[in-house]
Amino acid sequence: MMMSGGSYTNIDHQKVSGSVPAVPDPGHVTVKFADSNLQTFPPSATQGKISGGTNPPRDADDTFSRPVNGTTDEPQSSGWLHRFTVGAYKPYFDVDTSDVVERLKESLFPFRGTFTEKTANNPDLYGPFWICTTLIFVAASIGTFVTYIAHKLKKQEWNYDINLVTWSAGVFYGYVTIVPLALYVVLKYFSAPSGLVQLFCLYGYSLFVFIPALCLSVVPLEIFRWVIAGLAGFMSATFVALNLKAHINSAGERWFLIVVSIFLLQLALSVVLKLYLFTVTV
Amino acid sequence: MRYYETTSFRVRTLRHTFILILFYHRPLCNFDFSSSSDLNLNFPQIKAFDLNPFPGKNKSTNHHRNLQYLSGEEKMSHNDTIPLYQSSQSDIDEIENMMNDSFQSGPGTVLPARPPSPIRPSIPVSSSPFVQSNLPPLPPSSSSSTQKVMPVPAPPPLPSAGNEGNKSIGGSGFGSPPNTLTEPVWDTVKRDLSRIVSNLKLVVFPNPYREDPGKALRDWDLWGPFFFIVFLGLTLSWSASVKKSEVFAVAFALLAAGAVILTLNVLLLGGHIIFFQSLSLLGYCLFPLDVGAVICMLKDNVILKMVVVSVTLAWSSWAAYPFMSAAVNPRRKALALYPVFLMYVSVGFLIIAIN
Repeated sequence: MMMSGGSYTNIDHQKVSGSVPAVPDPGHVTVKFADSNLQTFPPSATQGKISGGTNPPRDADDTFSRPVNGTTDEPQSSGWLHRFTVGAYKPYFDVDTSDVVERLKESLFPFRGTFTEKTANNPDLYGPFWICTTLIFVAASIGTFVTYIAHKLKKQEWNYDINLVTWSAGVFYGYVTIVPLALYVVLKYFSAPSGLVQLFCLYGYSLFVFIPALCLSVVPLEIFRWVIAGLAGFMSATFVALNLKAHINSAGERWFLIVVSIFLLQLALSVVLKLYLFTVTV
Repeated sequence: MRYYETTSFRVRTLRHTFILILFYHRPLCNFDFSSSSDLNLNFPQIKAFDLNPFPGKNKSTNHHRNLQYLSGEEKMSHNDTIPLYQSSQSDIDEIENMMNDSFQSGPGTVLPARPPSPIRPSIPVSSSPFVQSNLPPLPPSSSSSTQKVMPVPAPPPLPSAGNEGNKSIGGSGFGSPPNTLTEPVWDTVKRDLSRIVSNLKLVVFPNPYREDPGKALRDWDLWGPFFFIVFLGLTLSWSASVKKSEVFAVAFALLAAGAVILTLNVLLLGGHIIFFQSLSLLGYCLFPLDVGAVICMLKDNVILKMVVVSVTLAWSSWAAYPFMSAAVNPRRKALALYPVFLMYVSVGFLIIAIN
């Protein structure tokens, strides 16, 4: 009995003590005012962001005036992402019309063996790329024309074979890309390193002789076609072999094997072109 | 029997009243169990009796009760003399307590005897301090609630003002677009078509602005080039006897990729042109070849095809020449123009060959 009564009295005391926190209530109120002060900052920041967003977008100044003839140095960014910018490949296209014409002439005279020396300073990729592109078109068109004439002479129906374009593209782009890469690896292995771009340049210009050869193959004489193919192949192979010989002469006894392999590979290309493009199946 | 029952009822009620009065006046006494403290506490009760405002009435009631007790038992009367003074302190309280006791202890009077009666009075005593304790905390809670209300209006005006400013700025920004959005679709299509036609005239037909790319194709677009490329692809595909889908694929790839490659070629040679403007111009230059393709689709004569394609090929090359030549260094003009010529020749060859 008495204990229960005591507990009741204790509860009363606790309630009485509960009234004491009324004193720190003003403290809480002051804290809340501080919170309200803090809230003034985020809205201002938000206003700044929103006002920034609401500003009308400023278009880049599109200058439609004539381009400046003077060369302008573009800032080149460093890092591996640099490879994905146009500026990274500009040094390889830093040639004039006269330079390209001179190199084309050089490729038609394979016995000099001075192409590598002349292009050591600034090898280019313009020639290799557009020579291959021209070859693709010439090969496809000449092949089509030859088969067309053959079908017409024998009074049979003829349909255009669009696959000639894709096949030619695969052959030429593949050859000029894969063979220099393989040679680059081999030369590095034999301690006679050469610039990769220089190899692309060499092989690209070596194929230039095939353009007139393909045009001459329009003549419907089979023997004449084989002569043209052989001559072009020989010139092209000699061009590549002699220029590489001058470069890898210090590779020891193995340079001969490398040069012979290159020579035969170039001849193989010529034979493949002859067989596929000019074999008329009526 | 009846007399005995009534007397027992009166005696019980009086005892309950006596006990309740004691607890009510002295809640703190419950903690003290010593006899000496009990004797000391009796004195303040006497003082309270003296302070009563109505002594006369109290005396009269006391006399009546004394007579009743004397007629009962001597021992009981001796014990009750002291509580009589205590009960006389507050007659009104006694009446109220008697009423409460009658309601609360109704069943109790029948069931228990002396021992259970003291247990029950403790419960109602505890209820009264609860009621008293409720009063003091009310004011601070109300004050706290009023204080809490004060900071509430502070934050709303700031963000609302900011929002209003933002809305006004946004509204000003969207001044002109609603006019374009609300126009009929035909007006939009007509405006685009008129722009394509005007660009076509500037590119393909003679005009004094041919030498200046900025003036010739200031308002460039990609609708025209896209239309001409797809149109040429479809025309070649329709005129092909076999492998229609492959013809379309090769033609489209040749034209689309060709334009991109030609533009990159100019950029790599150090030229200064806007990428999409160049694509746009090369696309517009296909217009003559499109016309040639339609003519060749209708006529199946090889000689006629060659003549038509030669004319349209020359026309396209003539249209592209000033733009490309102005974009690069004069020493590299041929390097930039040759690929363009090669692409148009390739397209012309496709037009002739596909039958």
